[in-house]
Amino acid sequence: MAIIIDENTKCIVQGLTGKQGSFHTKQMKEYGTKIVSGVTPGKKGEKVEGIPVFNTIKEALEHEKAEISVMFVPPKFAKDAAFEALENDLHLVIITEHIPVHDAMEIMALAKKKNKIVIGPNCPGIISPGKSKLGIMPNHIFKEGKIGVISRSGTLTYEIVNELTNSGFGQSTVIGIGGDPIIGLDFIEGLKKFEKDDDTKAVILIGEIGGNMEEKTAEFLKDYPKPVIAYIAGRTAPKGKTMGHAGAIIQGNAGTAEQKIKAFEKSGIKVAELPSEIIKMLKDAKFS
Amino acid sequence: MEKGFLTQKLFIPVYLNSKGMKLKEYQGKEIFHDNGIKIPDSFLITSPEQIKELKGEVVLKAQVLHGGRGKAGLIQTATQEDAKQKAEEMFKKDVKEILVEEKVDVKEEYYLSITIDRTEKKAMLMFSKEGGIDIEELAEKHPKKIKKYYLDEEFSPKKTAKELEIPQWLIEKLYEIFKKYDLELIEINPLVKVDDNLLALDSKIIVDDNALFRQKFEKDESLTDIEKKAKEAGLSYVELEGNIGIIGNGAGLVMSTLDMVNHYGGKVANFLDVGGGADKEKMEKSLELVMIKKPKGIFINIFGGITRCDDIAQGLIDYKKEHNIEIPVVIRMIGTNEEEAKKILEENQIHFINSMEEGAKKIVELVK
Repeated sequence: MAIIIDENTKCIVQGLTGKQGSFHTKQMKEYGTKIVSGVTPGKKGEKVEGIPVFNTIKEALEHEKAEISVMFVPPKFAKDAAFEALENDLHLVIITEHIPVHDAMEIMALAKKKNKIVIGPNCPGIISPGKSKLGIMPNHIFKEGKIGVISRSGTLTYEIVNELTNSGFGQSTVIGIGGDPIIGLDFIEGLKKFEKDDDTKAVILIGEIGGNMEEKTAEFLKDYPKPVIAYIAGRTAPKGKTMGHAGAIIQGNAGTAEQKIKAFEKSGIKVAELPSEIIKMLKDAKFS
Repeated sequence: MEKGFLTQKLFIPVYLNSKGMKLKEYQGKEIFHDNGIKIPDSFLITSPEQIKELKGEVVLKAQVLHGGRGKAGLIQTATQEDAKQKAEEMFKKDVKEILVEEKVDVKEEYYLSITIDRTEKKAMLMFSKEGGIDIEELAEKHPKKIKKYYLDEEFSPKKTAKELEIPQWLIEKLYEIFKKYDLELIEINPLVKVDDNLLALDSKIIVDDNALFRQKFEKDESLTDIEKKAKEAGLSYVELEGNIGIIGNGAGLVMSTLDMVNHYGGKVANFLDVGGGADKEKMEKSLELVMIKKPKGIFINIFGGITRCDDIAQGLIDYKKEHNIEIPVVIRMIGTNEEEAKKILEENQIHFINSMEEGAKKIVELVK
């Protein structure tokens, strides 16, 4: 088992015909992801990697049913594309970076109303190793296994997953939830899904400065039944500067790594100071 | 039940320092005025000579983006007699524009703003009858005196207006402006009562950077020179205090790299994220930017996914050939085309490290 996506999940790619869309679709297909159709307005009838392209999601769904869409659509058109997916009852993975924050808020409000999962925006996507991938992560570093990973970052996730794989810890599902201030699925929602997944034995949270998601998650984790290990990037970040991710910023005294670490530790969650310590902590953790 | 440790402290999710574009006070007030929110009479000057005949006492307000204007002497009351001289002194402090505003007799000062609550994913209105001081200070001193409302489907401007004892139209107008101009923050602090009118005595507005394509604002001015250059080149750069230059790909990885160098006793000179799929040219540009601060060493940390390690290696070699870098450079790469990169670097006698931790240790050792 895995969470959100597995080998049977049927997917649509929005923005399939673009440079990013077609490049990553090839990689996803090679990984085994079941991509049934693509959508790019005005490109109906084309084929990319053998996948038929349609003008609208409705047409695509008439061709073949799907559950989730992965979006490679420029920021200007992202809101409309996301609305189209959600209105047609699809879950959504938004890879697009630089979506206006007001648009992101509207997307999340609609997702809530429609009871749909949104991953991202500005994220590397989701992968259930050995089964399916929706996103842009490098295929070869992942290995099927029992560790769940939820992360606010991209390459840092690869770094840590790579160490996990090299140390023999495979992953059940890895989710990059995105680096923007407004994102869909967060740590708590991901943790709830991992809790129900029998194949996930422990969860790693990769957080960073900015916002108070880690603090809220720490509260939630007080009664969590599975081992959780956290890592927070940005211990040395100065106040008031955006560190690459739009959401990674210490505002006044809020959002510091120190506060987040303290909150986790108060809930009995171990926080690794260096990525390499995660492995050590996993080895020490008691889980079968 | 034990009370949550989080709920004890009020979290203010204000975008005080977001990467968004900050507007100067007078620019914000122009927006207020255009949308029917009253502001005091004022005019903008760019030299002391522009002060002619004043109707009465005025306040000179330097139009700069940083906070703490009062303490820095950048807000001063003046009269016809001393206005020119005071303005002259203010202009000497790296001030280019001054707003000359009628002095308003203030009885009550309120705080009113709309910003975005990241956790709730909603716009949020904040109001307090204790205006005039910084919202963070306010949250610290009188957390209970700040009222918060989420602007979602259940929000009622009518009910809120009644509770806060401010006009309903003002709440509606503020929210309309917030949406219309793609704002991350709109703040009136203080909002003052003069006779029966409410006046916006100051303005703080931050526009979402990502929405500038559909807004008519001029470009941001609150960046350092290097940060400006980085932005033009599509790189994410933050200037820091130390002496070890850092280049990496991906914000999280770069932050983690800074933390690691710091952990082993080094001091980092910058944050630089080359972004996804960076090429040779971006790498050369990155080196150029990092070298401006004359670091004592550089640590490059690349996890090759979309980014190809050989491109990054070639960028480094090309830059080194053209410019004489005499400081130690440690490069750590892993992922796509790692072997090719290794070959390029070895041919040029550059040491290549496989682990991020070893790389961090190495650069700290070399710089000491």
